Amino acid sequence: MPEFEVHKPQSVAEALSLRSSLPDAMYIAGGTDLLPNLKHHLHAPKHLVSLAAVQGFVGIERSDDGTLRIGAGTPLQMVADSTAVRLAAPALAMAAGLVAGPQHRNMGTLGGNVMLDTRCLFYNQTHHWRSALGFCLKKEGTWCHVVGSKATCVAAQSSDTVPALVVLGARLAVDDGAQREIPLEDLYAQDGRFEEAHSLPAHALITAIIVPPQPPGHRSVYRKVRTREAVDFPQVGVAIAAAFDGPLVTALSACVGAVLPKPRVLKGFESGLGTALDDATIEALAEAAFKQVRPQRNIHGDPAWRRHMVRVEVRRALQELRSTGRAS
Amino acid sequence: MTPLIKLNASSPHESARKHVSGAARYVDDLPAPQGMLHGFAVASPHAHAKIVSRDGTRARALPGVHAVLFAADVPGSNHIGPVVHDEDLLADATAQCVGHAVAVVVAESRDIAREAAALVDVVYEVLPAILTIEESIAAKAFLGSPHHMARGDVDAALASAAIVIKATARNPAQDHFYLETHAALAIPEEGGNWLIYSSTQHPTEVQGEVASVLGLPRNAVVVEVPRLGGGFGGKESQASQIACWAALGAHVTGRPVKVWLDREQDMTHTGKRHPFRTDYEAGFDADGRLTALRARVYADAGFSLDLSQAINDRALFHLDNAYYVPNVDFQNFTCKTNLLSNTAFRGFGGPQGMVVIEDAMQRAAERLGKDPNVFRVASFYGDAPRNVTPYGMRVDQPRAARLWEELSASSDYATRSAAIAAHNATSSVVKRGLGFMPVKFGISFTATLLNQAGALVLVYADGSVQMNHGGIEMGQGLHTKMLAIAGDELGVPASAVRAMDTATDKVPNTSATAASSGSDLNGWAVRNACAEIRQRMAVVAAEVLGVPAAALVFADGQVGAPGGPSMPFAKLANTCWVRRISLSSTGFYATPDLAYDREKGFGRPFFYFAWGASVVEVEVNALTGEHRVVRADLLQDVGKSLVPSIDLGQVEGAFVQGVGWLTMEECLYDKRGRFVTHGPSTYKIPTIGDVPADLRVHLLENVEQDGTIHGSKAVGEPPLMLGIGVVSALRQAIGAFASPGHEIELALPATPEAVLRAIMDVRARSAAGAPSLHG
Amino acid sequence: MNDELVVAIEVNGETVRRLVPASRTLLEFLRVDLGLTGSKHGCDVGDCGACTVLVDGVARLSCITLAVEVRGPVRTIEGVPADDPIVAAFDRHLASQCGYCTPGFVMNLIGVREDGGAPDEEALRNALGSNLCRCTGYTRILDAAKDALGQG
Repeated sequence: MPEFEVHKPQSVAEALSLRSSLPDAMYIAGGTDLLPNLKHHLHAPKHLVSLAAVQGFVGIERSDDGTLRIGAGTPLQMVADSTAVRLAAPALAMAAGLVAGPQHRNMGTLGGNVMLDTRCLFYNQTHHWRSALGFCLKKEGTWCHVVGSKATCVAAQSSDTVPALVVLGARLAVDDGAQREIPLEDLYAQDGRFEEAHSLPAHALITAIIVPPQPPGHRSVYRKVRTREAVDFPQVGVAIAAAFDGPLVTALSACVGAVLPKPRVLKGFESGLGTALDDATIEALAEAAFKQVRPQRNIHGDPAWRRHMVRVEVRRALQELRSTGRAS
Repeated sequence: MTPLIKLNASSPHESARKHVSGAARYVDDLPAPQGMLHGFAVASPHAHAKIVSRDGTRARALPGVHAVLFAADVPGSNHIGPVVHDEDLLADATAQCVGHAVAVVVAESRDIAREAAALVDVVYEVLPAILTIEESIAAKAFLGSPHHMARGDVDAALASAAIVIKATARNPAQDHFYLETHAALAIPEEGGNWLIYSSTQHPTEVQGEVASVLGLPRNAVVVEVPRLGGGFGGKESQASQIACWAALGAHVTGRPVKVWLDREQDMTHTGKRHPFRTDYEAGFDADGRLTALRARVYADAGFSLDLSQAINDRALFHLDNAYYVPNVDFQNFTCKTNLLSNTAFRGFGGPQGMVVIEDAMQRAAERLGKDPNVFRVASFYGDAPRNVTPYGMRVDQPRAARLWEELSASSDYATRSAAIAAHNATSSVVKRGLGFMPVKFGISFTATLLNQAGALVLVYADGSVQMNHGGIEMGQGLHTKMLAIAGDELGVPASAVRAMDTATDKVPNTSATAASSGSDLNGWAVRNACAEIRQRMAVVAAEVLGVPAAALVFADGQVGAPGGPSMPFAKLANTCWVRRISLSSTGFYATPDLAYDREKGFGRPFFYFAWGASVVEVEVNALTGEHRVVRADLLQDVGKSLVPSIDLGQVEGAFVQGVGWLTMEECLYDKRGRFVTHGPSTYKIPTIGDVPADLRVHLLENVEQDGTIHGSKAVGEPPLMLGIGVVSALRQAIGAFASPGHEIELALPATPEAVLRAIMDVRARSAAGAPSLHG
Repeated sequence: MNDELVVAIEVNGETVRRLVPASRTLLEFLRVDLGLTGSKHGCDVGDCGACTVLVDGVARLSCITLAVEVRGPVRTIEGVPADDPIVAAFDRHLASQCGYCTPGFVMNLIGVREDGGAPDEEALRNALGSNLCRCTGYTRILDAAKDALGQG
């Protein structure tokens, strides 16, 4: 692990000021992503600005209009267990509960999961391993070994919660000296390089994740493909949010994660509106999803199989949404 | 509370209390000796490269660095290797694989050593590399010497066979992933002597290699092993290089040096289970009996011989598995590649051999649309003349038929099989399969000379006992069994006996704790040592108690004649001391009756066979290839179990490890020979959520074995192969998605991707218009 | 840079102070600075669970926790009494073989217990999902967990 100093600001303002004034500084929240990456010498910060002691960073508030405001430092397990989240934004609770393993969820925060570094078989390796390849486009190199190009890094955005937050229309409360809100979707870029993958200025701090009130009859689901029952990052993650009026769909959006640097919002799902998600509709939507998503050999698992699983999991997610309604 | 360990009774692990309290120490837990430094190896980034130059100047300039060592700094021999010394401890002229150590950096801390390692300047000239078995075959880059076994007339048998299967079977590699990574601590002692703590299954080999590297006689080096956090074969030959790096660093700096590998180093410096490719032809008669098997067996040895020849030989010895094959022609080739040097892993080639004949069984059944067990049962070893292995060894007490009978009854095989058929007939997406796997595994090192063991038992004047033997406790419960044997022999509670850390200054010239032989060999040695002391003590007791020595019974801490006078064991020990009677003894054992002629491919390499069987039920999803083991029933022949609780644990753990190998664990190398899946997030061993919810494990009863220690049989490796039953089950389920009559092409490990491809493939062959993964 | 700083943590009921680099992980702090070697280095990147300790009653991976970031009392395997029901259940069910993963499992289960409730088998499998064991096949660990946490 590189040597660094750790600073423990008590407030957002102090954190921002430290992060801006210190050279080679990084934020650290739960550390479940950052520390393994530091051990792999993917970064060599001289200063870590810890967010652990920042006031008001942890907690879930539900306002009268149904908006959820989740402090960026809220542990994932707290998000998964929160009744407010489970009721208002089921896909988020599901996704948070499927991250890695229980200890990771005790430690890792929602803000950290949103800011998760993109992952790739050619990147999440030791320094020695990467140096043997002449490094890669994501870090220290100029060539992407996955697609054989110099143009774009295709490391996968591997957060479980991000696809769920996207379909829930989440916004981020951001503070970079000025406070503002941005759509969560806008955070992610097409390029997976560390400096490029997130559109915010490096010193900006996400202070909260805001999930707006969902339309009446909201249902949502997150489904994760992984090799094992625990530990693993997603090989594909599918989130779908819908609203139902009786049996009929009044809102529908879907997002696929763990494919490319940017979570993929699926197009054409408006064709499901007004239907009762009959089998033919589900099949057409699953097929549409399959056509839009092209996994690369960037993370564990056969890309053709992962692509196939997009179709399967979209189908399963839609069936689940349909039957959740029947049950309730 | 002292754990109660008793022979032939379920007992706790002797270290259980220490495990659960965190008190159990492993090499990396030992307190750091004064002035200890840390060693860190610099690994070659190339699979095959000439080393043009090497320069440690920049690394040495880093504060805290004490030494940067290259091949030229080795005072003795730079060549290591368990059978032939064909590996450079530190790559000299050429680096032979990615991960081959080129230099060792010694520094104040591991972090500094690691930082300095990146500053060691090595200039390489990249050479062409062999990265696959096929490339190795094409280049005829074979190591060792081929082994050949033949009997009967294979050509004639195949010509007259009712069905002939011609196929290539492949098995994947497997990383050991013991939870404790490799570690060694080398401590210079006075007079130029050495104490080495090593996480090794083979302290004698570490002793020999360290002595050779330092140019010393073996008596200058003591190797001690507290316990291992798992070994599984991965710490048999592979531990030597780590210990030698530490010893070399300590030799040059004059200070203790520890080398501890983190997980990624462990996985990129050390070899795996060998992947094999076997091209075979198998013939069956109209009743489903195997009549012939011809096999050309190719093992991917990696860059050096290591134990590959013996592993490949054991694969040949297990091509027959539990089946009598009248006509055979087996030949193996040990293929050099520029990859990590593959090594021992639980089963030691046996699983790789069995995968082949099970593949033949499955294919024959699949082609004919029959139950594969018809072929298996018809082909079992039985009475003469169907009781002789391809290498001429008689199979006494063949157990496959009995295992099938008992296990099919206890697992309710027929009923479940019918239920599964009914389920599969109506369920279109999810199909089930019920697999059966018999196992016959030869027990003994196939290199006959290794079948020896020693012990040293010391009785103190207060009646307490120290027991040393040559075996390593790595979780398998060896010490527990040895304590049970010693306690039984001396007639004292096992709690009065202390199992000492294994050390080469107590028992010399030991064999590795491997080949499932730990308790067979060391058990006899311990028993013999105890018996010798008991005999001496009995003479004294006879005088004191006034009864004939022959009438004395040693039991429950008392020595006496039944119904007659007796005295406490402790009091007798003191009396012996007072009377100047020796209370310590060595014990020795060499397995009798072994004789194998490798040139002729004929003889008796094994003392006996361990048998077992599994029935495994799986569920497969045709949409995704996802699958899970619904239930597994295991029945293992361990003879008369020394400690049943320990044996049951071995069976469970080995089965899960076998299933992991065949369904989940992927060793991937990139195009340049770099091991890609070298971390815990990319190399996936089963988690608790991945193991069968319903696992039923039993030991075969009334099977006391002649001539073995207390009638027991070995248990370490054989049950791993019970995991092969999952392949049989998966193939049945996959086949249910198509019309009968098609052989299944299932790649191993059978990940969901592989299973889905197999389903699509068989569907495509059985009906037009089936979907493909790209459709 | 590379400045050492004083870390004061309550470990197993006793407050300890040590001068360490800021990059010191809690696992190294326990093992190297305090000599508490019961918590194990299984993978060093938070993927095996062998380093699990409790911080403020919650199971955490000490190999990816910075010592300076610890807020709250730490409990390690050395602080677990021998008569703890979870320890006793591991003993009774022969839930350890090589023992290297055992402290992590025990600490994780203590965390589950402190969380309250009587988890069923599925909940226990989930709770133990990121603790790897290579020896046992997990069955006896699960038996011990069920026994100790009220589902036996």
